[in-house]
Amino acid sequence: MAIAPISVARRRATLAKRTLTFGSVLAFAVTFGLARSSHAAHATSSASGSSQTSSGHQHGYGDTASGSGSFGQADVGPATSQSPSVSTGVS
Amino acid sequence: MGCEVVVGGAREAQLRAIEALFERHEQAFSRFLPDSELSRVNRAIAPIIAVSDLFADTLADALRAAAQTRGLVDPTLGVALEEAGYDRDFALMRSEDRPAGRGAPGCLTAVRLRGRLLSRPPGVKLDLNGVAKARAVDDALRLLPGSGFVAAGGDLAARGGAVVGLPGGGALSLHSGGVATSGRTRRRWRMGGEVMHHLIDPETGRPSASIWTLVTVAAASCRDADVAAKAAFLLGAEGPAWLDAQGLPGRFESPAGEVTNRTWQAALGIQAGAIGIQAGAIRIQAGAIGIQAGAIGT
Repeated sequence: MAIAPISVARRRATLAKRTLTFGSVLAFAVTFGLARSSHAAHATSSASGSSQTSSGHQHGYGDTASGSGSFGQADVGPATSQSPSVSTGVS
Repeated sequence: MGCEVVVGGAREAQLRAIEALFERHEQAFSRFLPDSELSRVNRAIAPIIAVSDLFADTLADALRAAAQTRGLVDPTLGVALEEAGYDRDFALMRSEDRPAGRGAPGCLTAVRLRGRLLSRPPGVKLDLNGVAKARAVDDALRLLPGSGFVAAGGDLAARGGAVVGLPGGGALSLHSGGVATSGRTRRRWRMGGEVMHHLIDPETGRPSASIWTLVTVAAASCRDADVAAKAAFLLGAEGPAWLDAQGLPGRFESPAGEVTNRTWQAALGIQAGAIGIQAGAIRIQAGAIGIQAGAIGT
């Protein structure tokens, strides 16, 4: 078995360490920037409109474009009184 | 959030809790408080930053709203609003002789949120008002023990039944869900002689040239109603049919008159005529946000 000089071995170890570091960064970038795991269920708006975000899920425009993001419907009808409980303004 | 909050069906402790909730949202999402989380995020130069759980939840919902509306309700239009002149609290706005900026289209596709880590291109300024206020209204309603309502500006959520007077006249009975009205009649100003408003077309990055002045929508939540109303406004003539496709009732007002979509007509009939404003409300002013306790008509 050939024995590499200590300086060569150290250089190889440093190179391996750098490769590992670069690989970790690349893995994070891939995970953060590109991975688009399925979020259909997560992306559905609840009836109340509230939501929870948990780590490990990624959100970006288009996550609900497949039609899973429908709006919920109100229970609404004609006014039953001429005296409103409350009057709304304009956003 | 630049508006008064009206609450029905709450006791004193719940009013205080609701006031605190709106204060938290103001601290998180105000474009005009330099120390708000939104302002800090918009100033940050790091390509990836960590945001709070509340901010992440709301931004995630804003991105869902964008997907639901084919990108019309866009949370990346902060720069566009500033270029239109809306760069301070609306109460401080004055018409100006200088012309508005050229506009800044949205850049939705470049925004990524993973958990609490946010990535966006340099220079992008977020504006989460497309969902933040309406979500606060929904969250506030959940603090009420039974029947009641919470209204903030053009956003309202109710449970247990409320007769809701609408801007422009008329009323509806909301048994549960939300009602929102978006329009260009309230937040408007002039820049260089040109009338500006806050509903930005994400394609041009300038105030929308929609044919509508007001759009009112009812949905299962205030958040859904508000998002749908904004989208329907921005869609212009396509708005009524788009709301029908979503199964949502919508009423549209323009200088030429009023239009209701088929879903509205099925649920509510065609109503006209103004109804008087609520009476007997108790006003409790506290802090920056006015909380008004009103009686619910049940």
